[in-house]
Amino acid sequence: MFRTLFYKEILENLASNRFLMVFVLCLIVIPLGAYVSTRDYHARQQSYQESVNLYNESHKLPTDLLYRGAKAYRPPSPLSFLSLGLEIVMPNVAETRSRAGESQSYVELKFNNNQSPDNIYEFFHGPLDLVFIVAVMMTFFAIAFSYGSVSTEKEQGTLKQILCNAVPRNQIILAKMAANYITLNIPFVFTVLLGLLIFQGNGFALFGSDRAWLYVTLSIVFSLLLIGTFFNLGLLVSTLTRQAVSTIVILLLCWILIYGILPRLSIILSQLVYPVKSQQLLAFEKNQIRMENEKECDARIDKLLDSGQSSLEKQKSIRAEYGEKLVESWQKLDREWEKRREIQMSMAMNLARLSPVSCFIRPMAEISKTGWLEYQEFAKDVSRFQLVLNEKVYSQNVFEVTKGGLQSYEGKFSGPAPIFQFQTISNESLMKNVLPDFILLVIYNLLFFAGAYVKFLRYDAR
Amino acid sequence: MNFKEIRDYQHRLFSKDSHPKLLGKPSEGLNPPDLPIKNPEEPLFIKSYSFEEITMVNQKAILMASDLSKRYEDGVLALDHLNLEVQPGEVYCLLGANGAGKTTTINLFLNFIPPTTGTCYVNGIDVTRDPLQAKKYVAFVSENIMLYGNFTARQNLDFFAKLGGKLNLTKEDYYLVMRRVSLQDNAFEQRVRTFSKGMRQKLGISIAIIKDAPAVLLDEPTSGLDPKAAAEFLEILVGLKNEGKAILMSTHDIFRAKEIGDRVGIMKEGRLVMERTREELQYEDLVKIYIDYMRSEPLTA
Repeated sequence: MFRTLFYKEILENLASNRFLMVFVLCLIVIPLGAYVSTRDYHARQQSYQESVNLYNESHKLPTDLLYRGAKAYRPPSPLSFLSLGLEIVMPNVAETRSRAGESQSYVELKFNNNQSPDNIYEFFHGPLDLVFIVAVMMTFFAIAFSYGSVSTEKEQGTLKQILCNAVPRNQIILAKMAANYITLNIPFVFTVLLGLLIFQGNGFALFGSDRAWLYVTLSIVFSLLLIGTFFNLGLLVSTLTRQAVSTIVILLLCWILIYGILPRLSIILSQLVYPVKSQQLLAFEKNQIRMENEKECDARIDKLLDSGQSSLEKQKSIRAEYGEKLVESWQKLDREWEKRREIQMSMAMNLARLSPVSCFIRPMAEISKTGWLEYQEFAKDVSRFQLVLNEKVYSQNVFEVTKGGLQSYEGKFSGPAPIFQFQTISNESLMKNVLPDFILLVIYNLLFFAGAYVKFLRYDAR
Repeated sequence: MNFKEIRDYQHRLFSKDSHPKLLGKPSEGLNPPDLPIKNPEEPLFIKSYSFEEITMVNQKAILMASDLSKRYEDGVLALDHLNLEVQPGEVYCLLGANGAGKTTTINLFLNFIPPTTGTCYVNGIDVTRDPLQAKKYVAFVSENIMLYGNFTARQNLDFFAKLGGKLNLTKEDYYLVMRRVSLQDNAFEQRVRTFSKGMRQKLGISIAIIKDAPAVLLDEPTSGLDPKAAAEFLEILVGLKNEGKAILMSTHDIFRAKEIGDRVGIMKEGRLVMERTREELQYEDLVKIYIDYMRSEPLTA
């Protein structure tokens, strides 16, 4: 009996215009998206490579680092065709400021972003990556495939015709779910595979050492889960209503709420509940502290010079003392700000998880190495690099200041300049990070389907 | 005839000696008050029956409503202690105004809704207790049957035949049934969405025919059909009746009910207020009876 019902659903879908429409749209959009995204990645990769080469050429010696400052570049992610995520807005270069003539015990670090899309118009509408295709297009198609599966049959009377036979109701709903979900995903999976061929054809190694296939597979699993969530939601609403028109209206409202409103609302709510000062304000506060610190330090040195008891050792000791004080104040400020920001972000993330779309978009960015985790990893690597620089370059080189403003330089480290090495996030950390979202998506699927299942079993067929 | 006499009669009727060929393995699901007439080809399982069961066996009703009532959640009493039987080869027409309880009766026989009190049996099987088993013996034709528009007539027929348990039918079998209901040959492989209402109703009845169930339930099947299409439809019903099917049809068409019905029942406010046989109606004006009942004081007043 299940086979008959399943086969009928498949046949009905294949004969429908919506299947053709979905297939054509997927066939156009998904490979096109893959092509455009890989082309953009190539451009970013080229820019990155050129910057790194140029930097390496000009920073061969430790003195180069002192005069010009050190830089650390974050490579673009080849998986950005899955999700562009924060790739464009995330800092892609960290710079240490060389302030010759001053204490080098603390070197200021600044993250910059020198990327911008080829076409600024992209910012208005977002990229055509897999996340957009799934979160917008496929979820919409999922609704289109499921909204009528029960309510249209109720409306047309075909469900009565089925139910007057010796058919267990659970088989009807299971066949509907399985057949419609499979038919919906045929065009999606087929065209994603086509997109991967384009990816492979553009010089990416899907089965290379960086295990791109693993991330691609994980992305497809997440995509299928999100599509399933919307599909099962459609099925649930379809069992709750008696008319297909009511079903589609309710589902469109749900879609707007889940896709557009809930994630944005969660950010606003977190900002209201737990406000955090802006980065500009933080920078302003830090600058004020520095100015005060410098003022105090200069005053002490001036006093010392005036007294005629100045020596290089004493100057160094005063500057080091104030340098440490500055570092402490800044670090305290940074820690407090980071802590508050993390709480706010985690609050926003958890609230946003009420929307299945949020459980998809963020992990997809992490899987594609274009998310917040990747940025944090970059920041960690930069901090490590900074320590190396401090240890090998800045702390080993001395600037001498005299009252007349003369400067002299004495270098003690003569090896080649340390080079920044970026290590992407480990698979273990990544999996650990995306696991809650994965579980939530599974729960959403089960919840919506269970609701549809129970409602269908209790359906009053009159 | 008292209880003892009936029981003796039943024992003689179904005794080992009188039907030696019918005895064999016991058929499944024969729980009281199941009847030993489920399928003429199936061997019967003889056992002792209660008085009520024996009465039922004696009558051989394929469709039977016993003290059937239905009160909906909103408090409306849609059906009030209905007792009804339809024998094999009999057409029973239910007449009544909208909301009289005709469709509720059919819905209860199909187990679309549970009864509040009472029981309905299809081929002796309690519909509420064993709905899937009962549904094997009943076919249904609804008003405004839509079917699957993207499927051809044959594909629709094939799907419902399989649901009805007919798994090995050929294309020719389907064509044969569709010809029987006077569906034109060129419509067999046409998508149903292009069909007129009359054609869809014909296809609907062909679905009932192909299931080959002993009982056929029809819910206002001729409403909205033109007179010619309605006449053709009723001709098909007569054919089914002649095959021995028990037919229960709800309708508003008094003339056709009189024409085709072996028995006609008039329902009002959930009660069966009048029942006449074909013979009785030869001497009575059904239209007048119907109108008189409709104009009479409300039963609940």
